[in-house]
Amino acid sequence: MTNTGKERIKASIKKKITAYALVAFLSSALLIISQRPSIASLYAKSGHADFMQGFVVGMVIAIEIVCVYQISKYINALKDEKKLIRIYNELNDERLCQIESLSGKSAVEFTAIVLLILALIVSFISFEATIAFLAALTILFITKKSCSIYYTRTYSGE
Amino acid sequence: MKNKIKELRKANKLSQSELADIVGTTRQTITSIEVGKYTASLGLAYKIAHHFNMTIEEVFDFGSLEDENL
Repeated sequence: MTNTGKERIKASIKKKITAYALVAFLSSALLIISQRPSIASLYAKSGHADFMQGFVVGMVIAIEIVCVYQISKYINALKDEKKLIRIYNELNDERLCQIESLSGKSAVEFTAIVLLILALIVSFISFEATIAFLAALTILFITKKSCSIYYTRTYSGE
Repeated sequence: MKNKIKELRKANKLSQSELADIVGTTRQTITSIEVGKYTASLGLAYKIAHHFNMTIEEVFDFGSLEDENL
């Protein structure tokens, strides 16, 4: 492999490290903000506040564990050329990319159907929850359509 | 699609991981190509053939594709 190729791979891995570091930082900020009494007081019921604070703590812990693992994996790879090439190949493997693409397509279709059914069921219980589900469905549709337009214009098969 | 990758690999004393690293893919993809479960893209097929100093047609058997078209 040429030096240019190696530098390109290193740059790609460094971007991943930066992205994970940013996610770790933002989730830490979210944890700090969510624990403030002024945020807890915004909830209609104290039970909901306790639940959401606990949920956020659990979510942030899981995110931080994943971020630390990935960052340490990538930093180790930067020191070892063989590991670096292997990780880069795993991230850009054509077969894995196609599998992710097919999985994503199926996941979006299935999620849309589930959201619609939940919106219909929940409409008997809570109007706000129904609107939330329909909003999620709308965002899902807009995001999928936007991605489709973007990749139609940019995808070259490589 | 049938191919001669396994034989070529063994003749050159290459493991699946080593071949994968050379052509820029994963060991799992090389395994899938060898057993005919996955059809490599043109670019990947060329890299594999080029590594063994052969043409794509010499490494991959396109006979099955021609039978499908008939």
